[in-house]
Amino acid sequence: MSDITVLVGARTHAVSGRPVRSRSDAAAAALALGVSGKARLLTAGPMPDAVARDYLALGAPLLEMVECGADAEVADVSANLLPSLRDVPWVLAGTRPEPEHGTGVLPYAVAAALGRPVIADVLAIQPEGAAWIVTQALPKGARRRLRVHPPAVLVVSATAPQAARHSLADAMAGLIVRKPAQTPAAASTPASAGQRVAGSKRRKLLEARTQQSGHARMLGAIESPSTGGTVLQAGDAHTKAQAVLDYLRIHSLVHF
Amino acid sequence: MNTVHAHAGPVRRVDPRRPAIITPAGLRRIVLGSSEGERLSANRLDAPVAKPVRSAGPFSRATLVVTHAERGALSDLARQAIAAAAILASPDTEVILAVLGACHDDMAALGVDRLLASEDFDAGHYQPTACVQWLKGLQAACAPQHWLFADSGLDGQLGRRFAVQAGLGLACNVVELGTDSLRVPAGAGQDWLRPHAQVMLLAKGVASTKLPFVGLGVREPALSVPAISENGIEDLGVQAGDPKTLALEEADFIMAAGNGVTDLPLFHSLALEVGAAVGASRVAVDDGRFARAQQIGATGKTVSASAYLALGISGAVQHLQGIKDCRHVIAVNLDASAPIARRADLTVVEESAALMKALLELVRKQKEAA
Repeated sequence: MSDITVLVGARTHAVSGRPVRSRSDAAAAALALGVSGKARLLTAGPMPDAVARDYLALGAPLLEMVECGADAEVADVSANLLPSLRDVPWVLAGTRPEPEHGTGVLPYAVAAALGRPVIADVLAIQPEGAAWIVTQALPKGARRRLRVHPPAVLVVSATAPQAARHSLADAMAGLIVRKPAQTPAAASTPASAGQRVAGSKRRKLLEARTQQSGHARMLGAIESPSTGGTVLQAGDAHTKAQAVLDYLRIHSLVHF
Repeated sequence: MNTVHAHAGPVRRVDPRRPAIITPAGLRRIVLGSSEGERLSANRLDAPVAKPVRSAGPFSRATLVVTHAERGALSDLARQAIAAAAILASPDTEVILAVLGACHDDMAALGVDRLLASEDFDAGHYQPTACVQWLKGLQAACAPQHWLFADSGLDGQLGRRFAVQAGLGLACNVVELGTDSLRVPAGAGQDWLRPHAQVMLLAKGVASTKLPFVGLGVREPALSVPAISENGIEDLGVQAGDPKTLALEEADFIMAAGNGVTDLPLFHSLALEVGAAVGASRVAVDDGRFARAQQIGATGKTVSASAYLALGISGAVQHLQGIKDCRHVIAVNLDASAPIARRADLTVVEESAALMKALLELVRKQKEAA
């Protein structure tokens, strides 16, 4: 059996509303297949065959599908996936960059249930003996390198470079294995589920209730919102350059 | 010929500065016939009114907002999360801000009642387990009803980690927050309408940061982040991004050139010396002086650098759209009334080549001295 399992899922296309392959999950699968050609893909819930074949086209030999309700809670999905993940040292997953594509909690829930560390925002993987050297993306273009010993859960960054291939032969030859859910889904919907309502493009902003005097409102109407910062007119180029450098230093924007 | 009006008594006149009282709501109220109150002079009315304190306490409940500080400042999303907490808080609820790293912002103006800053937090060190443990310590100390995080980057990851490990109810990507419910996108044009969760991760633009009140703004040193070794993970160190190869969207310091920059070798050597990524306005790109990928603005890239040094850029609206997320904007321009002067925190009226030359000299001198 393979050492690597990639959690993949279908997402709803924003325009057509059809289930399609998730870009970030495909990036995770491509990263895993770059390390080992035998990486297994695992999904929970109903996934149309077309989407499953789309994932297999990346070059994976096997996609396992654990039957699960379409609107299952993260805890349910996690519980259903656990038996297939217990013996796997490396679990990879994609991030959820768009809020519509999911909450992105599943890798953390799986890791907590298995008692494993989670490494987020993974960009690259380099095997080194049993361990992996993992490159992590940090804000402002910084990168961190970690030596990770198995078992671990890795969440692949949405900005990871994609070397994804699409092979029709692999898509046709890949195996799709369906497994029934081990734990029965909760019959009643849990309290946290809430109700499904139509969304609107314009979100209502949470604002503090203010009671302004008429005078203050009139002032607000004529005031320009941005007044600008300091303007430096006097002096020669050197004093002005010094002022710019001082500003950068005060706000610790340069380090030399 | 003059008309003579016959009056019963003296002419009745309305006093334009009638005495008025200020109501508890902050409104000026004139009670006719009453001589109570103050006569406000016109310039007194124009003076900015000091904002009232949201609640002076005592507090029996608490909402905790958790964030990372970057270079002593909070991100816009973190400010929105604090504002959301302050707006939703009842008079007996304290808004506590827990910050990983030192933070120099004005806490009262943000609406924070109490700041717990872990000032010795080292962001370069990989310690997610320790951060979660730190939050569990805060949970024991403050017992907050709700936890608010900004759903982006490190804050979002920490919120997910903490909620899962502490077993608290979690709502991610909250796009709308009301007094007792929240909205989470469910896909296919639909939303989940749910009651408040214990841990809420707020998306961008949930709350307005304009507050009519201030918080108490008490600063307290927090417990430092415990030293816990990560099981099975070795930190091999952080490598800062190379500004030359970095995508502009990720860059931390950008130097951008406009039509006013003609000495390109000087510009590029200055960018190399200060370690800045290179951007350009549309005019400079159309002119062929820069690559299309370096264009910043509505038709180019939208950048979110901490520092943006605009040289010879007048600041057309389309360009200002591209730099709306930048924190510090410094403009160098010959025209002090150019639109960029209104956006910039510091505007220097100078010929760009002369300033670049002087700045390059200064930087080289300081680098040699260091």
